[in-house]
Amino acid sequence: MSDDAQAVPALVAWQSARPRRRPFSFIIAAGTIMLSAVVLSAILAPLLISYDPIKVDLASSLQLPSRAHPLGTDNFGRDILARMIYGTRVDLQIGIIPTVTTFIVGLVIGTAAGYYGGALDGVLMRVLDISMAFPFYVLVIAIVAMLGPGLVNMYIAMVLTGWVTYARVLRGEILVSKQLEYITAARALGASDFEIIRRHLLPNVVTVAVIFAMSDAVLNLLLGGALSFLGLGVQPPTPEWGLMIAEGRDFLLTAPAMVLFPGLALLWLGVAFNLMGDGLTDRFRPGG
Amino acid sequence: MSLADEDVTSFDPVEPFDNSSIWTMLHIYDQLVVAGKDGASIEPGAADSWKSPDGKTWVLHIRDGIKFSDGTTLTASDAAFAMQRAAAAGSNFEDNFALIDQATATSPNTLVVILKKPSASFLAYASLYAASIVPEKQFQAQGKKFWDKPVGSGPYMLTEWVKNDHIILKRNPNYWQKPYPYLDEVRFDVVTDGNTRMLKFRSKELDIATDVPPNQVEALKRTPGVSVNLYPQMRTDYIMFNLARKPFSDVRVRRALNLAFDRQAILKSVLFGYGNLAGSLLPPMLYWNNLKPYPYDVDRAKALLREAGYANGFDTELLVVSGETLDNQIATILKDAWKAIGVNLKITVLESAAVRARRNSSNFDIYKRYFTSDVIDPDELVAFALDYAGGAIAKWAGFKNDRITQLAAAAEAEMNVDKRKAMYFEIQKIAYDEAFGIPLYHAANRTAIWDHVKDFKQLPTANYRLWESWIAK
Amino acid sequence: MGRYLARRLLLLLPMALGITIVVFFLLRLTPGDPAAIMLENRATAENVARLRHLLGLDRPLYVQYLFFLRNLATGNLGDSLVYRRPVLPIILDRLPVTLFLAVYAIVLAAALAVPLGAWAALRKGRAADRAVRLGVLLFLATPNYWAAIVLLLVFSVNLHWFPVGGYGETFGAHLRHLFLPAVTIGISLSPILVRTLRHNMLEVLRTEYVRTARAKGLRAVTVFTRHVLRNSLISTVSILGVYLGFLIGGAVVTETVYAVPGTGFLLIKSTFGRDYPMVQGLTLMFACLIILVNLLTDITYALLDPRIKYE
Repeated sequence: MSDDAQAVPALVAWQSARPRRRPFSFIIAAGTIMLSAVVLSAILAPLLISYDPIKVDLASSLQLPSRAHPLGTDNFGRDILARMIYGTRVDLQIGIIPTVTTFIVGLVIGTAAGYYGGALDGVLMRVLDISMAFPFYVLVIAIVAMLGPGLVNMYIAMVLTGWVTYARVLRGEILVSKQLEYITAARALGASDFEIIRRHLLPNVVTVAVIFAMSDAVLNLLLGGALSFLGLGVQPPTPEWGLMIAEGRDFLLTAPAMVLFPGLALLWLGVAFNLMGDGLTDRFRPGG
Repeated sequence: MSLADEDVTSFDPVEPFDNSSIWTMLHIYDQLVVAGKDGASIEPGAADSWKSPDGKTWVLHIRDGIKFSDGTTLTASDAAFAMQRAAAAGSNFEDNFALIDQATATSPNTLVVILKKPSASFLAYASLYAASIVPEKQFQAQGKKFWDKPVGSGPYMLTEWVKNDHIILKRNPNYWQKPYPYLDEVRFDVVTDGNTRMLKFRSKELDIATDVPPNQVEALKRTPGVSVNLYPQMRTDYIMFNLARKPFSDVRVRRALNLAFDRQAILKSVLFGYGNLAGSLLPPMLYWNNLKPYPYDVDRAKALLREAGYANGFDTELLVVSGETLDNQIATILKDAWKAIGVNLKITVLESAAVRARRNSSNFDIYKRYFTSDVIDPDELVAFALDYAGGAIAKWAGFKNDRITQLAAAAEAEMNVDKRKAMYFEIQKIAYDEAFGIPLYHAANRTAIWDHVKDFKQLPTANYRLWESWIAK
Repeated sequence: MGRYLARRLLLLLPMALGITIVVFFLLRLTPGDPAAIMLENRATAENVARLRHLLGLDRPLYVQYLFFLRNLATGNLGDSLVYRRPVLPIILDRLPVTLFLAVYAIVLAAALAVPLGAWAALRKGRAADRAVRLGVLLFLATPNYWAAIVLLLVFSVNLHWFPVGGYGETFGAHLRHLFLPAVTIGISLSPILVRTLRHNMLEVLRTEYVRTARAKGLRAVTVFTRHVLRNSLISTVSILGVYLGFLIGGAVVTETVYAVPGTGFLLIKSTFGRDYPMVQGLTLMFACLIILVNLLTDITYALLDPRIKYE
């Protein structure tokens, strides 16, 4: 059995993706709107709400929703809506920072391995095989366990474990593209390796990686939220949705809003990334 | 009947410090005497009478006809063995029993304990779970393995222990105190998370839920068929500094930290008012003091820090036990409050075992813990909390005060109640002035009970006697 | 087939070696000296030095690694810092719980995903397909710890249908106790199954022999069940190892929320207990599990699918 069959299932279909222009996509539009809403909240947070998301005000703890506090306050007297809005800043980061970093690391290594082959490729393939043996969550948690909980350590763990998947995708793409006639022609014309990779190969393969990054962003968002929920990621009092759910759990029966809304927010952002990914897949991938 | 708590760490009486282990052991083993229900008196246990003319030599009569659950008879030599073992090296309670010079059985029913010096606290120590009585022969034959299937003479016997899942106790048919126990079987589910415990209680999987999160008390009270009882208990929640480290070696810094947060607000928002603020590490009841907690005074705190040379504050780390919701809330509140005096608090959440390990090796800046008292005499708690020579909290925190050590020794030997009172008061006053840690509050024990459970009560020592409880059909 | 098997087993060697290297270096990520960490409050300079020597920490890295391998070979994964007992029996004690949960979750997820995936593939591009795809999107983005809390609140606390947490003692009790945890994992697993199945089914539908079968006049239902569903299911199951990775990740989170005494819960507890040998042991155990499942599925796949030839 070939290695490809072991790839993340959704990837299998993209292995042979070739761009094809299509008209307006409803899915992409919906995803863009949903994502923009989150990004705008993140940028405009101080304008949207005047409460401090961190400042403890015990005198006004656990208030029911009111005009002053549309979603009520948490046990520390902090406005839940304010924490939701400022939470966009942290959760967008969790969706984006590890994704972009793994993307870049994976891009460099995957491209190099695919293009140059040889020993480098051999080593990469072994690393890929081995990394497939570890459940992603477990490896990330194990690394965080060793480094100690915290946002930065969580990112480190996510990048250390995440880059291999990108490397796998890009290596495969490069291997295919390398054989194309115009690449051979470019090489014959004396173009440097760097030139060939930058001008001819990357534009060809990067789309696939971007599509994958969209679904990866969802995975990272969920994982980051889960780790924070478990107490291994973002630390209090930072407003982050997963952490808010953890904090709200103890008030589940008295103030369910503390759990309900952060969960819906995570769902919203996850769907936004997913729609973008799906829309892009539809656009650049023929057939189902 | 079923309850839920953390898992038992060990059934070896000289090992554990955690409440689940202690309270479960108290159902399996007998001690010579037991702490009374009022939290002030000593009741007979395996010994039904005792006398001591001088406070130094104690002659105890072992009750006739006590049988272990395996049918063998409990004798004075088993009781002597329990004393010796609790005092031996390797016991975690060596210090508590260090006052024992020798314990010998002079007849099958007579135990003679000779102390190194007279002690008013001896009986209180003898009631400690660490001196639980087990059949010496069986233990010697099996060694460590004995504790996996321990045998005792208490109202219940251990029939099933699935680690990290549950413990089942069945009635001991040989139990001496008739008509107890009423219930044939008691089950402890291992549930480490307070929230899950409450959900289990609400879905009627548990008959009793101890340690109800304060925010749920009101709602539970309104639930038909449920009553929530508040029992006063000898418990102190506290914050401790490492005095061996800078900047906590400076009393001004410790005072500043004591002054820079609103205790009343914590009592209200974390504990929902179910308890009292603490002025001393020693719990109320018979631990005489009239100390008022430090007030909330940010300006004075700032001034003290400036005087101590920390005008810009400092960075430090607070250890909190994972899953202890209230502690985590307190941590967040302190982080916020201390920011005002420039103290940047990093909160580190660890499993209780890890916090304990770091505390006991003095490897911490600040930690938050609580303790409950199993002994109804101030001596043990002073040794545990305030006296460096006691080898516990004060030692771990590097708080060495010769006057306290002196007073503690004198108080233990003092038989005059008023004089003892004065000494214990002075000890607490010193700790207060030295700002030795932050005594936070004495929480009431909040316990939710379904109405079919009868005669359930938590004692001031926070344990319960399930053998006295029964279930209405 | 024999040669394939031999080669497949031979490939395990470098794999196993790689895994042990990763696990070995995991412990080296900890801040500070592993010996001092293990000794904790007994960490006097003398004790640390003795343990360092005992663990071989004072020797070159490759020697340390060989030590580590030798210990592994004898089943010695070290002692838990929290339990003060060997790690391996503690893990093995709890493994059945997680495996039960994993299998349960697969069954539930498949029960939902197979009909939906097939339906979507057959109605490709139509409303049904779009609805399924939307459902996939939603489920994929649902934080499972959040879903766990909501399910618990609704089905255990309010409706009393299922017990809160625990594992139970009999098979029936396991089924009841682990139902909500399995559903929770199923929520994140089923969209992946639906996607893969839909894709595989479309592939099969495009193939020559399906068209031939139809042309030969076989009934649509026969073609569907005998060829399309069977073949696409086989290729869907063939990447069981990948799902297992998801499952274990899901188990870590759900076991913690539902207080199920399995290995996932143990991993989180050990993380907060800074129980490094336990984390190491669990990581190794999960990796071995995935390799084993991959090996078994590959072999079964080879036996099942006559089209595949191995050189």
